[in-house]
Amino acid sequence: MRRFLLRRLAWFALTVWAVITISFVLMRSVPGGPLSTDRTLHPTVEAAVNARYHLDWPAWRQYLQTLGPLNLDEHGLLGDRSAVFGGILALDLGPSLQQRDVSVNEIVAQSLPVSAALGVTALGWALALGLAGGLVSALRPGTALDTAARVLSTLGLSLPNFVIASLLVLVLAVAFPIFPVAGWGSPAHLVLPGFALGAPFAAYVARLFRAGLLEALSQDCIRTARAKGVPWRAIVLRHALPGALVPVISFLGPAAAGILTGSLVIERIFTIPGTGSHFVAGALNRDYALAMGVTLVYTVAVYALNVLVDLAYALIDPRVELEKDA
Amino acid sequence: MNTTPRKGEWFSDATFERVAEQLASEPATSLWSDVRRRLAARASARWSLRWLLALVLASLFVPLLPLPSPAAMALDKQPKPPVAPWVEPFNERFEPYYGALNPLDRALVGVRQQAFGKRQTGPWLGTDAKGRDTLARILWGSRTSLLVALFAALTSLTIGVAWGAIAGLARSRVDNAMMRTVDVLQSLPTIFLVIFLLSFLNAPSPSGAARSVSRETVFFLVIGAVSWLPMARVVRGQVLALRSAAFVESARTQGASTSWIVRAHLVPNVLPIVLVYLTLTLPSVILYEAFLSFLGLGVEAPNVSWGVLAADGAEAISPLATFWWLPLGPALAMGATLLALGLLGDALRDALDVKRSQA
Repeated sequence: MRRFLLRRLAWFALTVWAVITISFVLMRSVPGGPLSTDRTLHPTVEAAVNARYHLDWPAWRQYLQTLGPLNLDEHGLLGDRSAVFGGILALDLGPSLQQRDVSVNEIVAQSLPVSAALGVTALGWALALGLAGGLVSALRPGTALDTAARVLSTLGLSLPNFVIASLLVLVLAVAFPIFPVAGWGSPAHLVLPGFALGAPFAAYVARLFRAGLLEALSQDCIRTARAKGVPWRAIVLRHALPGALVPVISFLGPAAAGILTGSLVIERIFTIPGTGSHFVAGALNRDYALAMGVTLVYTVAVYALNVLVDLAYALIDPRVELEKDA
Repeated sequence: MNTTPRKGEWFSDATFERVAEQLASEPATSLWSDVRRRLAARASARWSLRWLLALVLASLFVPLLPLPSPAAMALDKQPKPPVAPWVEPFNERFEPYYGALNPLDRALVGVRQQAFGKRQTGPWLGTDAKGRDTLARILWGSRTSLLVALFAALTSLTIGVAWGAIAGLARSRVDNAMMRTVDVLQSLPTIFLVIFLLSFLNAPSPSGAARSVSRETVFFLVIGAVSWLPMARVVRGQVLALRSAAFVESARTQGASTSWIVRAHLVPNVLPIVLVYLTLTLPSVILYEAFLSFLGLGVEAPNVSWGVLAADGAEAISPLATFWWLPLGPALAMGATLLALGLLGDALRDALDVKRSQA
């Protein structure tokens, strides 16, 4: 267990380092630098801006400052950090390059709860619909219910989430104004985006759960239990369900990553002020600091989720050895 | 067929010849003829293949069809709702405005003008806010999606298969290094890096000099770069399993050369799983393209893609005026294509009897 966690931590550090380094190199190699504007700045102003963001430093020093916990300016290694450009290991993602007087940390802190609420809603939709659909179609295989659930899940898998979102808004917000078209602020604002974001994953969960349950129910121990006279409900709940849930749980990691990705689009459609929409805006407006900061935050989130899922996997299924394929 | 020998006839030449003749007259059944038969027996597979074939043909020959130009605008108009084909089958308002076309397409458009003149189809799927015909835009936009799919298929088949096969055949240290590379690449949140990368290419160069690489080139490279990873993993797993399979060992003990083993045993046994994974890669790549285009990071106007159309459709939704045909058209086209690919993949997996593996 400890070896597994340590190894994952090492890979994680390597990945984060790669992201930081690649983006640093890219930022420095863009013609004109990250702060170039269409206007020609007065030399004094330009010098002031360069000094503020330490663009007058040699590249290695800028890199260490971006990366490291140590403060490299005249305030001393552990001194006042207020005047430096970043320092990711000190959890400082630096100032936003487009939004004046706002740091990337502040933007992330403000928008991450919004995205988290959306993501949790989506995951809730995915699990609720997926598990219910899978359960119904596995317990009544071959019936009309089963067919309906399978057709729905095939549809959910083959429609991109923004298409689902458009159609949902068209029907449930425009034609029949039950939910708000877009925006943020009340629980009603969460329903449609959460559903659109979660629907493809609900479809996949339903497929996995159906296959898992059918396989679990065809085992000999189930037949034995039935022969002994164990009630059907107890058989399903106690013997079949735990085994059938294993593939679903191992899918949660990729699903969470996919929901994060999907939120970029969904937040844009529903104009939700989440991290994803800030990221896209940052990328489109050349706010490299913001884009890199959000990339890092999401890398960390996806990594942490995957480790959690692996741990849960090992807890549920004692045959899984964590050390082997870490 | 009556091959049961009568009593006392077991070893007679006549029986032997009769059986040999019968065997020779029966059609040989290879894996692929079995697969074709099983696919043909499945209605969903037949319809999926038909749809995909029609789509490929339509997107190849779309300049020849009597459609309005996808770029010709009519700015004074509101979006026009769809008009059923039997109400207004054709009109005579064709304008040959296409923007930049490659020589082949220009020639095809020339043929179209010779054949149909000013005749064009009516707004069967409506028009958008700039008066451009939705049906024409969907068909022209399918070219981007299919091109992306083709590109991803090629990188999966070349880089992915080669990488996986080499890793599977190589010694453990090389294998380790190659697969760890795949691991790192796969654990990166690629979409964020891609958007991040594309944002750099959006930067206008201050000197006004032309960029050495266009955004679309990078877009394709990026899609190619991420699409081969699952394929490499799957191929490696299959090659590893095959390498220690009994029939391969037995071929080796009989003195078969490595190249013979690869040709006779590895390739035919890897091919099915490669095909099945291809049908899984293509939908995800088409979605990827749509996703990036939706965010405004894909193809640039006047080019269209399904993602661009879906984004336009999503923007057109407002409680004030419903232009429902704008989101619906691209949604149906994309949904039908992805559905067809998914169903075809399912059918192919069943027909080839490939087990689902985690990758």
